[in-house]
Amino acid sequence: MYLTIEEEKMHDGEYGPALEWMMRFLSKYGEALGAKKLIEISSAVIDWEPGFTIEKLPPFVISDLKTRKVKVPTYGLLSVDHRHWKDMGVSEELYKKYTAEDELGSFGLARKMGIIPLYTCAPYLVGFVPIRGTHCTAKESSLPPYLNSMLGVMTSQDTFPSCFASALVGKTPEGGLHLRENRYGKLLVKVETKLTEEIHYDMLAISLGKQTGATMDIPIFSGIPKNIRLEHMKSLCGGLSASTGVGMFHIIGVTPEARTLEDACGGCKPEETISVDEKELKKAQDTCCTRGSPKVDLVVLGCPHYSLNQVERVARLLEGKRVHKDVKLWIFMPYSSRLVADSLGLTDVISKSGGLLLCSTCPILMGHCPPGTEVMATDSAKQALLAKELFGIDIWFGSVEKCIEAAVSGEWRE
Amino acid sequence: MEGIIILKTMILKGRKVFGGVVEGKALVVKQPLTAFPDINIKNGIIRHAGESMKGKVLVFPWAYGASGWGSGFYKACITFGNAPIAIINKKLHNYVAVAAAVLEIPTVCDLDKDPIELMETGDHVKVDADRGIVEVTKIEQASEI
Repeated sequence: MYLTIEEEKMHDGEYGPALEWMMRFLSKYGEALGAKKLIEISSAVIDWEPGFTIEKLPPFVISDLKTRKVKVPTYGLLSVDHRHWKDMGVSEELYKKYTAEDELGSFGLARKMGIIPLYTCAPYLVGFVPIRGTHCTAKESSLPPYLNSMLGVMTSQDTFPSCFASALVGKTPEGGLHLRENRYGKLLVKVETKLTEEIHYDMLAISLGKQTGATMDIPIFSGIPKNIRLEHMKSLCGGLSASTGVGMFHIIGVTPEARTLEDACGGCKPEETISVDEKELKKAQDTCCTRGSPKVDLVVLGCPHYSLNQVERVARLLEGKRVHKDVKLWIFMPYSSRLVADSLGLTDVISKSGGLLLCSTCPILMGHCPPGTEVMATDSAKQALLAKELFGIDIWFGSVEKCIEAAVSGEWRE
Repeated sequence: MEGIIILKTMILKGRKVFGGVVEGKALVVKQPLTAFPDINIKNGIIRHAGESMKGKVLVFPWAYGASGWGSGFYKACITFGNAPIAIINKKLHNYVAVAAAVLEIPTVCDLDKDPIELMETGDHVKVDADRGIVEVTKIEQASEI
């Protein structure tokens, strides 16, 4: 991969050990992608990962990092809920790890480096909306597909090391979805049923993954209603990230790189066509349910994090009702949106009914749910599929209305 | 009496993802892999295959699933020492590109023949990732001449 004179200097350590490590990593990563050069990014998103933390870097790199600032506006994603971490069963040790001001791999280092925490997995809900055609790095499941598909931003499905190195250097390899020719659709998905609720989009994504064996080919959807909302697309992006290997999709006549089918395919024709009808949607729904005991212990809403609009809907459904004494109702949204929810009185309505409005995390991210949980209900296919495996519990997957009904009655009714 | 051992060798040519030359036994997984729940982080066992990826040439179609992929895979390899010695993918997902670069695992993708169809668990494999060449030796036992 070609490096400019400046990049060569960084690679050879002229700008200190931290940038040397980052540039050396970016060249290895660029070679891996078959990229010819590095390109400038407009912004970056990073997320601390327990598997590869800052502590894994050589000590001389870590000490140099403490004096470094990120090169482009960089946003941190998830953390712990500062208000309810005890209610959620987070240990004091973990809470400190995330929030301490002077520890590595935590809020402290991030702030010293100039990283702005947004405390959400869906930062496009709270202002992270880069400009169409610009490049950025992004991780967290629903984010890359949302940026690439809905906003026309060019990003790969990165993980912590690549996001972190790119944030410090301000560049990323020109490979994968950063190249126009890799963004064309190959797989036509004909939607032959009416999609109305958010969960239909979860089911559409799961059906696509099941029918294609977790495809990596970019899908082009036809037959999607014209009046879709951000929340529908958030569900589709979350579902796709759990069931396929794609970081992007097109919707003919809707998404910015798909004015027509031909446009979406780059002048070619789709290589394969599948269809999703009501029967296929139902099958997808069934793969998310284990159909165990109807007695629900935990109801999880907000994966990906709920928008204010969705929280408003939950508050309306809950008004004047009481969550069953044996059930915990956890609703997740971005930190800053919860401040708005507070001022609108939505947090109050939810807590009066016995639910918790939470932010910055979710059960599958934390890796635990309340002790004794045997049955979870959720309106998210991603949460359903991962929680089933992670916690070995029974799952019910259905609409938000059904989930709230289960939270109030204590039972899932089909 | 022991059967007669027949060796068959075939060559697959692809693209280097991360360089290096290694030799070992193949672990072939027929379906795309998530890091969780497909890989047991603590012992490296791939659930579709029932075997650990530790020290093997890990062959699978491509990576997919939630973005915890990297985190899970690094944990399996770095924290619990279950790293494969090489990776062969039909198609390269970004998750594997980053993982190969961070962990410096010889990796090859985009081969001229389908490795998932042609290779089997237990095959002896020489991966020359620098040149993008995978040499597969199948060891078959025949009971009679």
